[in-house]
Amino acid sequence: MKTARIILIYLAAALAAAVCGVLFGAARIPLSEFIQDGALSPIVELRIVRTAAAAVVGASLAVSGLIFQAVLRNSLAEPYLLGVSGGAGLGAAGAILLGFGAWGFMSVPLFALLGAVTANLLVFAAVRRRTAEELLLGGVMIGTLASSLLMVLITFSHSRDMAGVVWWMLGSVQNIDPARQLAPAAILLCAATAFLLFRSGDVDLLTFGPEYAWNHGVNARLMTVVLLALASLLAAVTVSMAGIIGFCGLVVPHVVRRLHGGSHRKILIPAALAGAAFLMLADILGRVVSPVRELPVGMVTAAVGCPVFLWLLNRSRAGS
Amino acid sequence: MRRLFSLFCILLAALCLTACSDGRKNSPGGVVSLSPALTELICHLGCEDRLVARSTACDWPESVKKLPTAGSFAEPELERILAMKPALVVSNEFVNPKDADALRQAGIAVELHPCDGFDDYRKWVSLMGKLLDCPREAENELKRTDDRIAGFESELKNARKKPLRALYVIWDSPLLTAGAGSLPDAVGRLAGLENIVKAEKGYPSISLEFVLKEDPDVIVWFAHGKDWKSNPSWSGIRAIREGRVLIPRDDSALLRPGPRIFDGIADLKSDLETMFADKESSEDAQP
Repeated sequence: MKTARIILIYLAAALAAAVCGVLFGAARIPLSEFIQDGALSPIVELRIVRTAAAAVVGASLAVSGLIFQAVLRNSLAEPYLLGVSGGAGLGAAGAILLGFGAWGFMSVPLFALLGAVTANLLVFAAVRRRTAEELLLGGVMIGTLASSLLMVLITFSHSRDMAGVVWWMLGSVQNIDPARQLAPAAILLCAATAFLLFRSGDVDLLTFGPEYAWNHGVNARLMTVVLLALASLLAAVTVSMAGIIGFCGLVVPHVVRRLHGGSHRKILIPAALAGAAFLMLADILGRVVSPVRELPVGMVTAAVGCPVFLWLLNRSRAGS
Repeated sequence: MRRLFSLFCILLAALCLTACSDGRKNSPGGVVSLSPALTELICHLGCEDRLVARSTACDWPESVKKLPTAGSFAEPELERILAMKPALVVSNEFVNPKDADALRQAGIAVELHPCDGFDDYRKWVSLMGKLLDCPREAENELKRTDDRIAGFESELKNARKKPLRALYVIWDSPLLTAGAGSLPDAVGRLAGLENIVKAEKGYPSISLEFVLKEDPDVIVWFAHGKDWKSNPSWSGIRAIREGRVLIPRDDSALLRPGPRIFDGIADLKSDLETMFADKESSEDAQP
């Protein structure tokens, strides 16, 4: 299938998910009440912001996961591998438990971003030979260190604060500031996608190993570091605004690659659109399950994504 | 040398005597309270001298702050309690229920009962009357409880006003609220409020969309130290836009099922009356 047609199909799916995201939610409101006194109803406004947030977060995670899996040549690679989740978790928990949350709405996301970027930089600083494998091991170590420090904080925390930390770690797109969080994240996503499209040939070559890429004129070590840093930055920004949302960055790129092959020029935008559609649908499900409560989106992605992925896995094996 | 040795013996004896005379630190009949509400109740019943230790959350009355701590709320520090050798440990719950078994095995009585409403409070008052041997004080407190509740109910009946629909914010992110049957729900009802969260019990985390749909008349803000103004998601709620957010004067008086709760309800009621009188007068003033 031609790339343009594939992109159009994924775009249609993402747009359909976005429309559903605005139409459905915890409250049942008729279309006639979408506009009240000449302005959008606050419920619709809330839905638009969170649907857009789910789209940006889902697309960022999928793009980040796609790069990690390509560069590390590992099917289990995911966006949080280089210490991002541990660092962000520690930053957010530190802000909540040490009382910095009182500084304002943006304090927790900023601390989470600081934690994620610091953990990421620590990985790059601690690993001398920055090959993909060693960066991966360094990431696991720094992530483990951050997680153990997080446990220390939780041990000394108040139960009410702990609920905030746990909820944040489960992931949610409910509380996202459109101007201060969503817009910068969307700009970063567009810039990263444009850069990756421009260097998609290098990414393709790196999937065959650094030596192969080097023989084809790619500075493999530098490109590996640049790509992993960019993918980690995407993950760090999403994690700072929506918490730790698992599964999307692991499975969506996998599925798209299985369906459309390994050319990154061909699958980059479909993966981003699939990630956006997947997270928007997971968010809708989390909202409509109960009229009062809301399921954390990270929980929904895993609960819904696991069986779908296993089905796809078996289907493609049977086909081959 | 002999003098020095004598001086040392005298000092040692004085130290031993001091340690033995500090009955609070090692009192065989002492009580350890790991719940702020129960600490308040024990003091209210006139048995503060029986307390040998408290939780880090117990901060009222002011005098209990002098007591040593034996854990945080519902989380006992076993070694410290065992060293104190109290007769009784009271709390509403333990994070790790096995801690109660460990204390009981050491011969310490443990009373763990929840206190989520006025019925639970009455049970605790009766139980404390028996455990601390102060039946008359407990009887008086039971009577005071019934009288105050009856007083609030009759005021509500006489006012003949529709209750104000309220959202109780326990924590802002995630949005934790008080559901049906919770203590804030019971307290708010006596202050003339109707909880918008009826379908969920306990302290559920709810969606903002539900709040927007229910459009509460007032938000009672228990999320101490958190600010709703800097969170853009909150600005869609009408009660927030119109400034109908009430921060209780002392949220510990309302969230603790203790003897101060009735004063807390009276304060909440009067603050609500002031808030809505101001709103009505400002609306009347508008042309």
